[in-house]
Amino acid sequence: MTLGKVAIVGSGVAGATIADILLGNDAASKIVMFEAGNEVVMRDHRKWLDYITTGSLPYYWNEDDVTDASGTENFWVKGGRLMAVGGSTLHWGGWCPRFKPEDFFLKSNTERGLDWPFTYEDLTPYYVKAEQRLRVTGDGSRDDPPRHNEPYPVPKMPLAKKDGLIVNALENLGISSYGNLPIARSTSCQTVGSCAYCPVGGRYDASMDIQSNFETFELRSKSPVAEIIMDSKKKAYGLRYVDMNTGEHQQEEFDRIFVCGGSMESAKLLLSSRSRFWHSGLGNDTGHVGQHLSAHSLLRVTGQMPGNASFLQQELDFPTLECRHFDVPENQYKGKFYFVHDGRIGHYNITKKLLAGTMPAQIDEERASGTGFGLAGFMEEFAAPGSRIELASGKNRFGLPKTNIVYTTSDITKSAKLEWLEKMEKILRVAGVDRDFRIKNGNPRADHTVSLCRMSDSASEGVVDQNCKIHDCDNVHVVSNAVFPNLTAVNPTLTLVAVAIKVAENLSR
Amino acid sequence: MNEEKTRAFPSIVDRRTFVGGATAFFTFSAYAGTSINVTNELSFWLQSEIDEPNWVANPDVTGELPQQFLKILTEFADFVSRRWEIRDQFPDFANLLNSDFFSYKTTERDSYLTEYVKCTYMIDTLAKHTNTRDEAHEILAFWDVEKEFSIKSRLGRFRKFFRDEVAYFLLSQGGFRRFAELKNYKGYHGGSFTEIPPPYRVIDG
Repeated sequence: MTLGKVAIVGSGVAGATIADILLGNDAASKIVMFEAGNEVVMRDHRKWLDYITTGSLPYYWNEDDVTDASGTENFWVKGGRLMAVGGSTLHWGGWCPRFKPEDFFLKSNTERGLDWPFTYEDLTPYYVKAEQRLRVTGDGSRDDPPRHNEPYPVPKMPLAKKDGLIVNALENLGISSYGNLPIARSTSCQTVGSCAYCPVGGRYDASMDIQSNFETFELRSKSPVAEIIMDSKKKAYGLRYVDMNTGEHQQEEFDRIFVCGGSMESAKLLLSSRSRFWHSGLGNDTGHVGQHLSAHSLLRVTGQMPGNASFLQQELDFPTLECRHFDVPENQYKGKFYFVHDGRIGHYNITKKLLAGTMPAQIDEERASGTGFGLAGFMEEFAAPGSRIELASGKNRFGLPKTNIVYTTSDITKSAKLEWLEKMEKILRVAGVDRDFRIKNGNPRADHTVSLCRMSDSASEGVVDQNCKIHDCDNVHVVSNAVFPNLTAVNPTLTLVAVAIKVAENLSR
Repeated sequence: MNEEKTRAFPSIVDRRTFVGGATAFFTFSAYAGTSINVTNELSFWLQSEIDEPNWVANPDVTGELPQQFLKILTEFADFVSRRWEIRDQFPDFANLLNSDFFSYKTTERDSYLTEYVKCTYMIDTLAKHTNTRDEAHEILAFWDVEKEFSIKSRLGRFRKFFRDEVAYFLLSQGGFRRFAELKNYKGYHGGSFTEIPPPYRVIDG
């Protein structure tokens, strides 16, 4: 079947995946992709050289403005996401762990949140395709979560020498289920150490998958979508968007619409799409749009280890060692925990030292005298009831409503955060770290925000069905982290891509 | 590329004023190693603010840096790389700097061409009043090295737009090998991690 004329709102990893699959499977359809932000030149040698020599990144201005959201005292938006062609994958770390089977049954297991309308096993074939799409490196022999002997598309990245001390500590403490971090680094990765701006395309970003050369595909950057216009309760007519080049509002008819923005912007678009058919916003008759706000804080413990005879120092710009020992069903009630050894923490910047006047011999002495270590991770956080986002008064730079965030951390999450931070500190102490401990109990961040348009079996419990189609509306889908019924302990992007593939393949089959 | 702008070479901003009006203030009381003393007048000249933007001057003026300027800047880079003991890591120092650093920085926007030309005038002008060119290099690179100078000052601009950037470039292009055990470093094309051995130290390596 053909989907006809399709609008995709958002050019991040979900939108790029949907577009790519539809273009391959549905030659008769015409796709228009709308992106509020601009195109950013990626994989450019001069821009890379500027990043190496000055630290400046070409997408810095695509971050949120600090005034774009209110209520950010305990929920960080700035720096978490990007408004640009390619979305937040332009700056992501590329960590690609799968969710685990129990993650799809949070409600059944804990009485919190909601179960997913499908299982880990249902999603497994799409996880395999998502790993191929993102060019994930990993150890296929590990079976936590189950892989059924499915290899990763890119061979595993060997553990760094600095990981060795952490591995010893994990072994001494009887902590199992650790190994190579699955991460989106293709074989073209040249370990350049500048992953925030890769000169060779070794780290996947969604701009790679946006097929501007297809005749049936059109990318409209600098074109924020302000509203979905409804013909009836069940059918959207099309979109209203702003052409930022002219400042004019435009209206256009579409047969099907995929809302693929970030969590917050996707929910905000539905809330902004009020009509006589949907008084509280599209898909919001039962009041779930913008609700159930959940997100990850980055929990981090760092410290100094005395002596460094091997001159251990991180030589890569990404972690290689992950641990899922605490990401297990028995911890689900309080919030499972996932962490990595991030060798970048405590990095000794030789160049900066030289520029500050430190002589090379003194640098040798300082490097031999000790080194920094750090562990960092995420837990499945539970927000207090009522945590949500709302449309705020005023407009952001795209002419879209600003965001108001209402967020309170639940008591059980506050308590569990401290427990996981203590676990990381203990691991570091066993590894040999004994001084200058710093414990960072961060705030939740916009980049891992979920549940604002959650999937459910029925409209009474959520916003979209298992195909990410809005309940009671036939031609609008939301494919975004916003549809995840719960947060889990790990990064959401791989699962988002798996869900996007599932949706696109089912629709274009 | 805008031909007219490319040909319009940056002017000498303040050389005449400096040489004519301030010759007397180059008296070095003493310096050895990184311990450099300069006269109050020279200190004033280095730190005084000039009428320039906070970003590189004339970023739209692109073009290859002429050989005589390349030579002056390369000599400075050579001096600091010897001080940092990384010079031996570069068998083809001048060509590396020219092709992989100066050329990219001056032929594309935002172009550093004008800023670099001004740097050469600073080096040349100082060198006329020191015993050796390396004394001028020493002052520009390391005088009061722990202090952060204003981007509006002569010395602040020289260090931010040239000294610091060339340092990050040189360390990333192999200078890091001077420092024990490192096999890879930010900005170094180490090679694929799928190779054996991989381009970084591993647990069993």
